[in-house]
This record gives sequence, C-alpha cells and structure tokens, in this order.
Amino acid sequence: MLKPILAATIAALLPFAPVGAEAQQRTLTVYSSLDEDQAKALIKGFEAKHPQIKVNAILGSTAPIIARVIAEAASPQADIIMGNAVSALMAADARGLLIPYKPAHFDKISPVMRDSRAEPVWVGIDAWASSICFNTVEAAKKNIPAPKTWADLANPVYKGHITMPSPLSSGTALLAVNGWLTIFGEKGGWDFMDKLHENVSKYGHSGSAPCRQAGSGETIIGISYATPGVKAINEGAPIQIILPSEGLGWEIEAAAIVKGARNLADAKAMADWISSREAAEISAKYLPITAYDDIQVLPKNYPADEKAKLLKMDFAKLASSRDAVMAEWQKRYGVKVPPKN
Amino acid sequence: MATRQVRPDPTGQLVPPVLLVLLATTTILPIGALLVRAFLGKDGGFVGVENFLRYGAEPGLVIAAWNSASLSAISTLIAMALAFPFAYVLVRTAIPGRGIFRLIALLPLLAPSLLPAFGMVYLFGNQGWLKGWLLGESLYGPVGIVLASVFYVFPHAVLILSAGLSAGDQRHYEAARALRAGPWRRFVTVTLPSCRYAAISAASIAFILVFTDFGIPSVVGGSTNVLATDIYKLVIGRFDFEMGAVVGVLLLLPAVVAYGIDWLARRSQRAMITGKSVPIRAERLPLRDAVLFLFATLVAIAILGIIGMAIFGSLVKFWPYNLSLGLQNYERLFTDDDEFRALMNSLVLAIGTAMAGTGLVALSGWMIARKLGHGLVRNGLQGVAMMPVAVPGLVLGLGYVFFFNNPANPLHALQGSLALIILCTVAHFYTVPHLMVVNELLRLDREIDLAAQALRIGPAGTARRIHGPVLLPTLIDVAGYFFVNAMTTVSALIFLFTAQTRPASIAVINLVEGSRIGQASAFAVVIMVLSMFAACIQLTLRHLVIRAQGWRRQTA
Repeated sequence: MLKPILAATIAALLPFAPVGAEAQQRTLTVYSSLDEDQAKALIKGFEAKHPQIKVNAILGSTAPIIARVIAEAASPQADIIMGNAVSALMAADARGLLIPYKPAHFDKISPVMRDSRAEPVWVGIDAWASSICFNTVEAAKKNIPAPKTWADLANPVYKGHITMPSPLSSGTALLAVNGWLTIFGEKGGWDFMDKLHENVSKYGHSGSAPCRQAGSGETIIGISYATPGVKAINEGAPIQIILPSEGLGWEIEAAAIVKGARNLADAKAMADWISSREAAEISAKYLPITAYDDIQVLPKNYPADEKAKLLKMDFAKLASSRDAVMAEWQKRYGVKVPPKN
Repeated sequence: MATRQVRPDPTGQLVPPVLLVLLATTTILPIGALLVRAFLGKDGGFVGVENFLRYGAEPGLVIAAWNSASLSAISTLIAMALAFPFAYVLVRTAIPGRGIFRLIALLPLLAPSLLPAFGMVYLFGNQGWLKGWLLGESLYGPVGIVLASVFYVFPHAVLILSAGLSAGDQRHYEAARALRAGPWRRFVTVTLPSCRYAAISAASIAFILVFTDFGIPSVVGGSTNVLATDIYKLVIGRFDFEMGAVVGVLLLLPAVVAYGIDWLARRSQRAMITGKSVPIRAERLPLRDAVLFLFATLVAIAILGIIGMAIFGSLVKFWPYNLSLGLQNYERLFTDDDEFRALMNSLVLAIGTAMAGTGLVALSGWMIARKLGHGLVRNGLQGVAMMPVAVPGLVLGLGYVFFFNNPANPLHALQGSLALIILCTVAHFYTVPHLMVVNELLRLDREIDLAAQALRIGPAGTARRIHGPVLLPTLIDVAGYFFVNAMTTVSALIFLFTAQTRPASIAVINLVEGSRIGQASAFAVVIMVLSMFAACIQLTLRHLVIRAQGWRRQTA
C-alpha cells in the first residue's frame, strides 16, 4: 500500500514544482491595494507602453499587503507597491524596506501628492477621505434625522445606529480618527470619540464594511469612505453620502519601489508611468482626487465637494503618532463592551 | 520456544522517521519560525518572556481570553449535542434518506465561510426575515459568534463521530440483548463507551476550531473581542509580528491540553473490532427512529435555510431593497479571465491537496494506530499531526513566509509555487483526517496483527491486505475533506498566493474588499457547487467500495 501512495504523492506534486527558466518576456511583480478595476486599468496602460514586460499583480487590502511585504523582507518578492496608504508605506519605510526614486514626471505632480523629502520614496496616485453613509429608508422608519456634522454623531438620537471600523485594523478608521483629532484638537477629539462610542453599535475590521452595512440596512450610519457608498448607490442602495461640514480626514495612496526588487529597471519604468498625467487620467475615473490638480472628472454619483472639504493635515506628524493613537484608542474603547441597541 | 523471530520489516523502522521529518518541515518548523518571535525583540535579540508581559499588560487581554474560552465552550457543547444524534442517525439507524442527510451535514464544509455569514445576516441581521427569533438580542456579538460557530464546526464533529460510530461489534449488542438490556441500556453501556475516543476527539477539535477562528468573530462578532481577532489586529493592523506570535502561542494552549487528553484516551482505548467481530446491523425501533428522523430533518432545514438564504442573496438585484431575481452577479465569473483562472487554480489546488494529503494521512494515521516505529517518533508524529488545527491560518501562512522565503532555506525555491500552497493547505487541514484514520484503525484488534505476524506478513503486507481495505471508505472521506477545505481556505494563503496561483477563495475576498458583495456571493456559490459535485463523487465512491467489500456484510 505504501509504494503506490508515495508514488501518487510525488506524481501529484511534480507538475507544481517551480519552473526555473521564465519565458523571454520579463515579468514585474506589483503589489496593489487600489480598487481592483483601477489597478487593472493602470496595468493595462503600462503593458501597452512596455509590451516586453508582463505585470504580475497581487491585489489585497492595505494592511495585509504591507504585512506581506514586511514578512517577505528576507527575500523580497515584490518589485513595486503600486498603491497603498502612505501611512502604511511609512511603516515599511521605517523598516528600511523601500528605496527612494524620483519618477520621470515627479515635478509635475501636485506638491501635496508627493513625498516632500529630498530623496522621495513615494509618489501619490490618488487620495480618499472619510465620509458618512446614511441609509435614508431605515432612518425614515425610525424618524432619525440626517447628520450634517461630525459633532452631530454624538447626539443620543443615533444610539446603536452607527458602525465604524476599528482603527486597530483599518486605515479608513485611522483617517477618520486623525480627522477628528485635527478638527477638535487632541482633547476635544477624544472627548468627541467618548460620546461617539456611546452611539456605536459595532467596531469592525473592514474600512468599506460600514458603508455596505448602511447600504443593506444593517446599520443606519456607517463611518467609512465614499467609494463603497458610491458603488452601493449605483447598485440601488437607498443611501446618501454625507461629507460633514467640519472637514474630512484623508489620506494619499501612493507607489513606492521595494528594496531588493529583482527587476529594478522595470519597477522604475512603472513608477514613471504611475507619475504620468495619462495614468492620473485613468485613476480619475475611479476617484476624483488624483496626483494632477487640474484633472477634474467626477465618477458617477460621487459627491462633488469632497476635494473642497479635505482638512489640512500634517501627514508626517500623523505617521509618527500612529502607534500612540492606536494605543490610546485601544485603552479607551477596545476593552469596554459597547452598549446594546 | 521454537517460534522463529519474525523478519524485521524495514517499513516499520524507516517510514516513521521519514514521515516525521516531512511533516515537521511542513508544520512545526514554519509555525516555529513565527512563534519563536514571541521570545524575540524587534531587533531579533532574545528577550525571554518580555513580550508576554507586555501583552499581559495590554488592556482587554483578559476579556478577550475569557470570551474566546467561554464562547468556544458553549459552541462546542451545542455542536456536540446536535452532531452526536445526527451522526448516530447516519451510521447506526436504518432511517431513510441518510445519504441526503450526510450530504446536507457536509454543506457547511463546502461553502466558503462568507456564504453562511451572509446567510445569517439575511436571516437574523437587523433586516433579517427571522430577526424576531433572537428575542431582541442582536446577531452581532456573542449570539452571532455561537450561532455561526456551531454551524461551522458541526460537519467536522459529524465526520469524526460518524467515523467513530460506524463500526462496532454486533456481538456486544447480541450479548446485551441476551442479558435483557433494553435499547437505552444497550446505548449507554455498549454504544457510548465504544465511541468515547471519537467523542473526545470531536469535542477537542470543535473547541479548538472555534477558539482559533478569525472569520466568524470578524463578520458577526460585533465588538466582542476574542484572541483570534487580537492576533489579526496585532499582525495586520500594527505590523507587530512579535506580539502576534505571543497570541499565537496562547492560542496553542487548548491544543496542548487536547493533546494530553487524546494521549490518555488513546492509552485506554480498547479494540472494538476483533478478529471475531461481526459488523453492526442497524436496529429498527419505530419510536426512536421517528424522533431521530424529525430531529435530523430540523437540523437539515436549518442548514439548508442558512445556505439557501445566501444563494437567494446572490440572485437578487440588491438586498434587501430590490429583491427582483437575475443572474447579473454571475456574469463576471465567466467573462473575466482572472476570475476564471482563479477557479481553475482552486481545482488544481484542491485535487493536489486531496492526493498528497490523503497519502500522508494514511501513513501517519496507520503508524500511530498500529504502533509502528519507535515510541518517541510516534509521539512526535502524533504531536505534529495534532498541532495544525490549533494554529490560526494567519499564523501558519506567515510562518510559511518566514520559513520558506529565506534564502538560507534549501527549500527556498518553493516560494511562490503552487506546490508550496498545496503543502501549506495539507498541513493546515491535517489534524481532522489524521484523527479519522487513527479512529478507524484503532478499532481493529491487535490480534489481527499478531495473526499477520504468525503468518510472517510484515507491516506493509498487513497494511495492503487488511488495513488498506478496512480504511478505504475512510480514505475516500479524507480525500473529500481535503478537497473541500482546499476549495474554501483563505487565511493561510493571503501571504502565499501569487498572480498565477491566486485561488478562487482569495478571489472572493478580493471581491468583498472591492465592495462587490453580489459578485462575491455568486462566486462563493459557484465554489460551493463545485465542492458539492466533488462530495457527490466521494459519496458514490464510498457507496461502491462498501458494496464491493463483501466482508462488511454479515454472512451468517
């Protein structure tokens, strides 16, 4: 009985042994947390310009992609990260896993959207901002008014009707929290979150889930970002995307080359492409804020005033306070069980 | 004594150590590569238990640990209370429709975990049709975790219990009957003791599965913190692999306890099938059968209801506001090259895992049950086989990266290959099939081995002539188990897949992340249908084998 089993096992494994020699075409490995369609469109544009390069893309959420890059440090598998939150990229940069590179069109990019250091590590692709997804049908049933400001969310009328991601596992939550700390100040921000905590029914892990939950009526208010809300509206969800008047916490999605990239020249070519106006025009179909200020396209049903409401944020300070904010949040809200609705 | 020494057979001496090395390379070493970080500082220096103290000082640990332990215990109790009678129906009664019942019991195993999670939200969530059944409790929290966990571990428990119950010795029942023991007394004094080992295995596995699962608390757990979500926050949210490793070590504790219990149980287990054994004949007791049939039907309806609701959700335009039906969510799967390739990858992964896994499990289970090789090697093998179930997929996957993606490792070349993903998946799901094989073989009497020895048939020969045929139906189940788990596995692979090897289960998660819930549900349904197809093949094969093996029928 042994021999056949062993033989079958070996036979089963053989076809999957890694192939040593690749075909003539060069390959570039790209890690990305951009919207799937956006990432694919950008890659298609790149491959059209560089037909000799085949892009292998690994798509995933912001944090898992960076965790993977950090875990693979001993022998990096990615050549370039094409789109990840700058705060998360900074975590990789702090571990010395990225290399500086100034792409071809760097100087034409809007100054906020590029790394301001002398040796820039990242180049911005687009930006996303916090917003509220508000389910009008369920709100009407319970006679709940639409919030206009972040401060409104502290009103007891919303008790048990708000969900938001936990900043411990979601970059989207972190930018909301950073926004509140910017708007209300350090003390005022935590005071606001204390009151908000009384109203929150659930802190989840996914940044887009609160908008999806609002879209399907599982919650009335989801603190999230606009894109999942826009998608839900386009599918027929009765939700309204509210951009509170105090302003929005936001963050940049950027590209950076991985240290030890096996294919450095092609990774640089990709960074050059990403920094081009043509690439920004592709991204503008998915998110209104891109690396080029003057590109003004609004995706269908996307709120028009997002750009005007972006807060002025100190990204360097936010990156350095990331761990402290998470620890404070965990201390205040990670332990207590939130009230039942 | 004139008996000649039996010629030593190399199989019994050589294979166990080789197998131990092979299994250690795919389980203990990668897991260790991550867990050792629990004792290292950020700079890689040894810091003793400092990380544990740091974690102990974190607010919320005690609550998370208590939540993990209590919710796992409650879920295990409920799952066992449902799975035992259900398994009994499947293998110890002549109730009609057992084939259908078996297939339905396996359904939760066939569906990506996302599907039942959606099904539960559609049924019991804030817009759920049966929301009132929760008596005002919210689904999101302990209630949701227990409900979903019971659903998740039920098929595992049924599989182990039905393997344990499926063989017994009809003579024990005849004897009990002759002693005027009624059906209940026969059940308590003959049936229960005969499946004690399987019951302990099933309960340990159920407890550990709930204890280490991340998916359920993250979807329906609300804000209820458990250790398994803590590890996610630490590793993924804070990139703190050292603290993540600390939680990983804590999550291993129940498995260590389970290993101890298992070791004790194995020592006291007596053979249930002897050379003179007579296969069980299912009794017909009209009243009992009617009650059990009703029970099994209710359980089946509950499972079908949750899955059915999720399928319904994949067909509607937009839950819950536009319930018109259509196939729009399914179009992408068959028009997008990447999604179609993901399906093909999953099939290759599942078939590869089923073949490699079944081969390895047959060997390791056989060595443990037949006490081959050195005792130390055997205990090491059992420990290695018991470990994967206690390790969250995230820990295993990260461990694989740390271990294999290291230029110093001679196996570094495997990085990025489908072979590595298959190895990881085999390792991830190793424990339950291993126990299924051990349980099956432990019921064979040692006398059979002695007879074989007397006839000078070595272990390999005994395996071919006796253990193999006895084990064949179980091995078919094992292959099925590996297959369906490989179709739905996610957490261990998020660090291992590449553009070429991305399986369908990851594609589903990508769709969810992209807020394409309808398409994600549709994809999950397609995965489930493929798994059901495999399960049907499995059940048919099993049926044919059992029918072909005449000795399973009583010849008297």
